Amino acid sequence: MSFLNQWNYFLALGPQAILTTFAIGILLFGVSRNNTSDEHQGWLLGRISLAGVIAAGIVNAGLYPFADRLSDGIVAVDRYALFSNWVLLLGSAMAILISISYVEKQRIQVPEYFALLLFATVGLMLMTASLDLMLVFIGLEIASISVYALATIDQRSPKGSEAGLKYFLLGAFSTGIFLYGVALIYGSTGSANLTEILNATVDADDTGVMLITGVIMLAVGFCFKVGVVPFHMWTPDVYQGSPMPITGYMSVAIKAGAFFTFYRIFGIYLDNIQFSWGTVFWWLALVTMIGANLVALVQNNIKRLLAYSGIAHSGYLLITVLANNTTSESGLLYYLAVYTVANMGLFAGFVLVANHAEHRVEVSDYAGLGSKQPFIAMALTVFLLSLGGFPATGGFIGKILILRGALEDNYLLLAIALVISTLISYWYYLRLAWFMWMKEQAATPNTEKAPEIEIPLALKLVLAVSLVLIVYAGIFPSQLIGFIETSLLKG
Amino acid sequence: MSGSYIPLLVLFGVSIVNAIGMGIASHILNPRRPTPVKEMPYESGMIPLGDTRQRFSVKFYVVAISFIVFDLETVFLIPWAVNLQSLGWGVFGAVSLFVLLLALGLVYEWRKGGLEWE
Amino acid sequence: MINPHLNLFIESGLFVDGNMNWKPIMPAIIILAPLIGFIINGAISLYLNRPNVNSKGESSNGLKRIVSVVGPGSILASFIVVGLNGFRMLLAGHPTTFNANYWTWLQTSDFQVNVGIQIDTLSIVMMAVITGVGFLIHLFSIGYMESEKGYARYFAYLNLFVFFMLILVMGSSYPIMFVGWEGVGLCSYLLIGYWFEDEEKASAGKKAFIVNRIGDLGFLLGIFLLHSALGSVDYVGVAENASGVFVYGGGLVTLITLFFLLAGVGKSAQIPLFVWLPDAMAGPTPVSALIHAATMVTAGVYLIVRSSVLFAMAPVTSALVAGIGVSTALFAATIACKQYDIKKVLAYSTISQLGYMFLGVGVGAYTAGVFHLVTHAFFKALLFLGAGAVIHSMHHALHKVHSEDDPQDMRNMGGLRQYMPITCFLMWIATLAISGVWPLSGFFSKDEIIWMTGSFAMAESSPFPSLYKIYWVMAVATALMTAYYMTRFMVMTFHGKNRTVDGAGSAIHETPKIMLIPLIILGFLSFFGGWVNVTPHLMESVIGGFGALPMTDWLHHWIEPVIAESHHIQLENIGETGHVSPVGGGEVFWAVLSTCAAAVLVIGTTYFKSKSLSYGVLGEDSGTISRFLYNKWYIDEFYDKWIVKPLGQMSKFCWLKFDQGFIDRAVNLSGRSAKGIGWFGSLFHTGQVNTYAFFLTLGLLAVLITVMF
Repeated sequence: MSFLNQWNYFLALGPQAILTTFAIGILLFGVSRNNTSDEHQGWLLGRISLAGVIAAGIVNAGLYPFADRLSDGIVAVDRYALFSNWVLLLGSAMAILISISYVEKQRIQVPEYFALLLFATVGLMLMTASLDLMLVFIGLEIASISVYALATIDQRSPKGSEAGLKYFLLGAFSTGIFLYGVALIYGSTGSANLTEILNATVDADDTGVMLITGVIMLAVGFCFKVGVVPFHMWTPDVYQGSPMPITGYMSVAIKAGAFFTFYRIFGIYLDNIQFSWGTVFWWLALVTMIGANLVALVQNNIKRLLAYSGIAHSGYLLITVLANNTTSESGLLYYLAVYTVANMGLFAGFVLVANHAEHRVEVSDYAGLGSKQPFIAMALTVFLLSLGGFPATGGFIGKILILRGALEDNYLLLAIALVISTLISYWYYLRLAWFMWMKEQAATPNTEKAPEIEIPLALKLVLAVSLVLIVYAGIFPSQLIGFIETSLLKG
Repeated sequence: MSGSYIPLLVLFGVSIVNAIGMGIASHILNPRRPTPVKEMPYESGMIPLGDTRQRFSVKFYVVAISFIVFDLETVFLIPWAVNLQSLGWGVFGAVSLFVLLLALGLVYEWRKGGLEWE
Repeated sequence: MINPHLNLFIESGLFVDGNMNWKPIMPAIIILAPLIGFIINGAISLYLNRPNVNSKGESSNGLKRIVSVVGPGSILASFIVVGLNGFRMLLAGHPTTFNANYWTWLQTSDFQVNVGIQIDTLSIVMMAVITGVGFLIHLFSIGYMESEKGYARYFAYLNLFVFFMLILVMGSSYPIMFVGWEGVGLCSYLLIGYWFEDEEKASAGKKAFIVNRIGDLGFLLGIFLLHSALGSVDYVGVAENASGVFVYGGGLVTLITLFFLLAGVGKSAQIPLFVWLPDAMAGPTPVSALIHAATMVTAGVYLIVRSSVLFAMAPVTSALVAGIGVSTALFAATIACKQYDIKKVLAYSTISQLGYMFLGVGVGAYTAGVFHLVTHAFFKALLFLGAGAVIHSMHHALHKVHSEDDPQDMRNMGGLRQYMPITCFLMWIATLAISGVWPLSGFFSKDEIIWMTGSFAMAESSPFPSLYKIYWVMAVATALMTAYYMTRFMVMTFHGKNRTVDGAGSAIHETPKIMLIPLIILGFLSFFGGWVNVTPHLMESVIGGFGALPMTDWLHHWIEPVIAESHHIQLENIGETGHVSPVGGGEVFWAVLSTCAAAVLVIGTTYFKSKSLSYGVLGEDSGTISRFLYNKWYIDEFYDKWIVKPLGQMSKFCWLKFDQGFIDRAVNLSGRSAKGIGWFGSLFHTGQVNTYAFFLTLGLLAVLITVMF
């Protein structure tokens, strides 16, 4: 084992290493100052962590020349991993931007907050790049534990504590299942390395009970993380209780990270035994799409609404893992990128309307936003339309790609279910839009009028950038699709 | 192919039947002649005071976590130390990084007041 | 090769297809002008919405003037460019198809969609109708919406609508059409809910949107199937490959056309998805005229004509198209006979006329379908705008005397002719036109459809001859019924005794000029619009004044290139149509039908006039049939009971089972265990987290069992 080889491994983990360094730095910075009640700590540390994300991005870009040469380790440096890094970094950058005013206003422990956010991103990036189930597990746990802590970070919020504890307990439970699955796979194939698992499963006839049970348990572990019915129950509660920017981060980054890994494992390395998990995924996708959309119809709390909407999107994305051809893989990547932007944009708007707090989270609180804050309302409407898959937004292209991929592998029924559930989803997405544009704000009986929303620069940036990206991705998607097509695992 | 799963199913079945059966059997079979003394949690012990579910200070957890972290450190360090000669400088660098990270963690905990009891 | 983005404005697109000697001038302007209008008006509307601006009355008046110029002006600009291009096309002699691809929208391994436009004879007719009639309606709106609060917002939405509608008809492929299709749906939703203080109106908008989405489902699946089958989704590619891949009457083409039919049925408000259109009348009247009469609702017809090659190869679907069309026509006409709301009558009349268009395209008379689409746009826009004028004056008059009466209820009108003579005269022209009285436009277009239906039944190898004969009878019956309900409509509104609340009558006055001018132009078009498509042998007969009247069969030749392929298929498989009818005798039949319609009109007029049209008598319809028709066959109730309610309950059920049940019951984590929530809860100690974990495990077991067996 030469030093050069070691160096390669460090290089492969470059973006993660940069982020870790920044996170540790922020932690130490937090304890090195005596006056922890500094008003502008949020702004300062927010900028530092943003710088960390940007630095990680630069390193990520710098890794492209090495993309195909470093392939022997347990950390993949392929264009797929680099692309997923982009999405995760984008998601966390937006999360940082929408957090800055929030943490200052809520007096949250700023250094821990940002450090954990970065650690979570590190974990997710590690997970998406790993070629070994144990490393997947480690990445998943780094991310999960950070997010458990983030959910409870506002110690004065009982709801937050409850959400965090709930998430932790159930998360630990699902981790158990996940690990059990890994153990069974290891037991039957003799390795936790994905490449070796692939080789062990080439001859599909002699797959035993143990392997298949392991694979299913692994899948259930993932399904829990991305919130697939019936493993979704924690989602609405936890989304509702967590601080709003964290909810946004969870709905975006955890989902994206888990799905990137999900696809890598199931779409590529367990593809040989698709007969074992295919049927299950088919049903899960169907139940998730229909069920989540139906339940979302009656939600009034926007965080719960978004939780169910996120569950529904997991259902759509499950189709891509199942269909598993180049179109659906690009569909997955495209969809996750667009979904990240749209959902984070949406949460930016939510944070604004809630005035960096946890009130005004009912759908009816958005009445009259269109006349009071036309720019925010317009941006939110576009994001909602994109989530619903309206033409000329990025979401539409993503859905088209998924549909196309599903039809290429003859999943006609799932395609129809996807379209039908999209139709259902319009109802609740538009309901929010309808409140914004079509309803006047109810005359507030209590004397305190809704405070004028002040828009910090960071949030303006998130809203504007997201808006531009979504519309651009809807009208000129070919460049992004072209880029994605060079990042596919199924080259 | 589902044939190969039958043993598993049998195992499931046997264990479930066993578990339920034991409970039911003991319920049916055991002779019950309750007296007030027998109803007490500890037949010949002290009468319990208060709830058994007592909360205790979170500080214990912090110490426990610190212990586990440094305990695990030795798990890595001792095998490395034994093979120091053959592993070379690369591994030395890696282990140093590991120790450095742990040391930074310790610094953080210290500064944060995690080691102070009061 | 020139950069396509720059080229956008210069003269043509990147890629010129077919004949090089005809290129449209600045085709992008046609689309972009309404978009620019939307942006300007939208910006003004947002500016005016700011709370601190409202106080400054003067500046807002100035801005309003800008809106009044920009709103209609942008559409006029479009119309001028369309007219110019149409004229050039005419001069070019043999109309050619123009294609321009601006950029690649979507590309995967085998799926490519370009953002591009196609201008051919069909789309230019549609564009002319949209921008022409659209401009007149914008003009009318200046007067109609004058005193409304969201004046700028209204024009912004209206411009946006025209923009999407133009995309719909100008797109060079089905996905682009779908963009427009969705866009017009969105605008329709926004404009129906325009008076949003009204809960009912806003929910009407939602109804329209949701019902339309069902149609969109068909559209999307149709596009995907089409692509799977042909490998192409642009019109040129489809037309080229269709005859090679599909067989006449084949299953695949039937399935695709069925999906497209579903789309068309949703958009064009046909049975069973018509319920949204009457509700959509909640929007401002000019919106009803533009969107729900002249343009958007005809998109379904346009889709079918665009796909004529496919439909011609699917006789079963075509029969279904015609069947749905003629049933809707008859069905809506019966309802229209018993409505009292002035706009509801027109709404059902629109549904009925759209049914005619479907019948036309269903019997392969694509030209006749488009022809009726055009003439209908003229006379129905006129009727709606006229009704709008009536409502406008009624509203002001009733307002003046502080009456709470419904300004849209025809029972409150009557005798308005003395106050609004010009409007009344113009409305009579439209009524005669829609009833199909010679020589007005509706006569030529509607009777051609009826004629073609009859001759289709008599064709050599007609697929379902007896079925088409039934269609023909139904179409004739609907024609007479149309004359009946339109007479009722006119007499109740304009003739007889004035039934308005005391004193209000004198306050009713003729429409302002800005609203009257569009009416006059539309009246002219409704009268003469039919003269552009008259077959030569009719021209030579009494109908054409023995060749004396300036009539032409121009439209027929104009549309022909677009549908030539489908004609060819039809000729091969069904035979010649358009020569014989079930009752024989070419022009005699036309004349008879027109005479019958006229007779119904005359009889109806005298009947309704002689009837004492007091409020009470008309208000109490005691007959069962009358009540049945007044309640629109109880269709809304049917949908509510069998679709809306069950869906809502399902959602609630899922919610209770998976969500609410756990959340509401379980309050907190701690302390929950001791109390227990019954056997189930105590079994799993702490309440909700354990319940979740329990379900998680159940799910895992379920999944495992699924895999194992």
